[in-house]
Amino acid sequence: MTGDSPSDRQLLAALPRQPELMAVLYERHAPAVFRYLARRAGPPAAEDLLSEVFIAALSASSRVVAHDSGSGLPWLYGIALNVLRVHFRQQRPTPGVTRDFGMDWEAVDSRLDAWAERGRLRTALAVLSDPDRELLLLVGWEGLSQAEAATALGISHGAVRVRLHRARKRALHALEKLQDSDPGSGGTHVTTLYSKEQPS
Amino acid sequence: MNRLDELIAASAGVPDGTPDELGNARAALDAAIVARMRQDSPAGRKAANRWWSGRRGMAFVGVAGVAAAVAATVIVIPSSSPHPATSPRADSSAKPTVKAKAPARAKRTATTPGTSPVSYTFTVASTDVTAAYVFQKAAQSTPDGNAPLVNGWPDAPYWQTVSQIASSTCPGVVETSTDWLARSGAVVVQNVTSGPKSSMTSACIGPTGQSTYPVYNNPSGPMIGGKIYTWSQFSALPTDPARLQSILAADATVGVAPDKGESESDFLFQTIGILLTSDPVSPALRKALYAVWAEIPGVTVSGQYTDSLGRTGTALSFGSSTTVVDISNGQVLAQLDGAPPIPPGCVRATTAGNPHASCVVGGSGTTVYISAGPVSSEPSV
Repeated sequence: MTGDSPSDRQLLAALPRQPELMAVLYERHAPAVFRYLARRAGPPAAEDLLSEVFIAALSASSRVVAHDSGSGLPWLYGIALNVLRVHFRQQRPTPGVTRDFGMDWEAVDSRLDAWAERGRLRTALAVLSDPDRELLLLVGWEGLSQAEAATALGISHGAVRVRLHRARKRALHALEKLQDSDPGSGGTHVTTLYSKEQPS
Repeated sequence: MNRLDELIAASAGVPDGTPDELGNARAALDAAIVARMRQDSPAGRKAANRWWSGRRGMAFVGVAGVAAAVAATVIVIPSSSPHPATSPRADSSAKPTVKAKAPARAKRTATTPGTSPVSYTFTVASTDVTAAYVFQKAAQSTPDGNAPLVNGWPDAPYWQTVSQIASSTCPGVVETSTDWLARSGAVVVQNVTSGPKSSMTSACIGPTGQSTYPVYNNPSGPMIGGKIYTWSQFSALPTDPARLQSILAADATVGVAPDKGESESDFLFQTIGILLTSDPVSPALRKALYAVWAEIPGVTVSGQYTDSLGRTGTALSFGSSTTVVDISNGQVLAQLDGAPPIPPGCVRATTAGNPHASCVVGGSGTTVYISAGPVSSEPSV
C-alpha cells in the first residue's frame, strides 16, 4: 500500500473518529459487496441493499478490526449477511413456498442453464445449516480464504476449517445420493430431502 | 474439481454493479456520513460541512479513483492499529502454572452446553516434553477396544459431539454445537448461540434476537478428502500407522483443497484433528491416528491449557493451528488458531521462578470440544 493510499487496516482504525473514511472503503469495496448481495438476492435487490450494508458498517465501525490480511472486505461481508437476513425476513411470504432467510433461489436458478443443475445445487446446499452454507459460499463464490471467512463469520480459523470440512462432506454426500437415486434429475428431491424449521 | 465445486462455480457469475447503481448507494451513504459527523460535536458539524462541500458532485469513482476520494478529506492515521479481539492481557489472578510433564487428570465436570459461556484460558507453561512424548502418552491412555466404553460402543446407534466456539469479534458470544451422527448417515445438528444481547449486533454473526439455529436431518458420514465413509468402512480403516498414513496422505487433498498457504503436512495435521473430534473413531483407530500424527515432522509443544471445566491439556502447534490434547485419556480438548498468543511482557517460561511464568489470555476464537463419544439416545427434532 502506498503512502497515498491508506490500507484498510489504517482506515478501519481511524473510522470511529473519522466516519467520512467509510466513503473510501466504499469506493474500494462496493463492487465486491454488490456482487455478494447480487449472488444471494439478485441484482435489483443488491442495488437497494448496498447502501444499507455500508451504513450499518458505519454504525458498527467502533468495534471493527481488519482481518490479518489487512482487508476490510470480510468484515463487510459479515455485515452484508445480516442485512440480507433482515431483507428476506421482510419479504411477503409466498403460499406453498418455504421461506429461506438467506437466499433468493430464483436469482440463483437464473444463473444455471439446466433445470437439473438447479435442483442439484439446491439439494447440495439445502442439507447445510445457514451458517455452514454461508461459509461454503464465502469460500466458493466470494473466493475468501478460510481465515478471511472466519473474520466474516466472527469465528476462529480452526472452527471454519472444521465447519467447512463438515459442510462439504454433507453437500457431496447429498449429491451422491441424488445421483444414485435418479441420475437424470435433481429438481424434485429437494423438498423430500430437507425439512427445515424456521428460525425462532 | 468435483461436482459440488462445479455447481458452485457455475452459479457464481453475476453482473457487476453499474456506475448508476453504485452511485445511488454512495449518495445514501454520504448522507449517513454527514449525519453521523454532525451529531458528534460542533467541530464535527464543521468538518461535515467541509467534507460535504468537497463531496458534492462526485460520482462513484471505483478503485482507480480511491486516491481522489481520499484527497477529499484529511485522514488522521494512528500509529498503530488497536486489535481488541485478540489483544492479550496479563492476568495476575492466573492459575498457577502446571508443569506439562505431569498434568493433572482432567476433572469430569457436568455441563449443560449453551446455558452459560465457558471461559477459556491458555496458560503458558514450562515444559520439557516433546511432541512425540505427548502423542505416545495420548495413544497409550486411549482406552482399548475391550474397555467398557460408555453407551455400548461399538454398537451404539449415534456418535455425539459437543463443541463450543467463542466468537472472536463479538464479546461474550458463545455458540454451542451438538451433532448426532447416526449409523444410517442421518445427522441432527443443534446450534445454540448465547451471549449478551448487546453483542448481537450487525457486526456479529447470528441474526439479532435469534438464539437457535435450525435443527435438520441429512445424510452424512466420516470424510477423508473427498470420500465419504460409512461407519463400517471407517472402522475398517487399517490401524497400522504406516498404512493409515498412506491413505490419509493420498486422500488429504482430494475434494477439500488446502487453504491458501497451507502445506500438505499442515492439512494432514488438521485432518487428523477433525477425525478425532468429529467422527466415530474406534479406540484402535484413535491410537493409530495418534501414531500418524507423531510422524509429522515439526510439531512443537507450545504450552499447557486449562479451561473452566477444569480440564488440562498439552498444546501442540504446527503450521497454522494448535491442537490441545489431554494425554491422560487421549481426548482432543480444543483447537486454536496459530500458536497460542503470548501477552506482551510474557515470555515462555523455561526456568522455575520466572516472574512471567504464568500468563493467561482470553480464549476468544477457540473451539473447545466438550465431549465426543457414542450415545444411545435418539435426539428429538
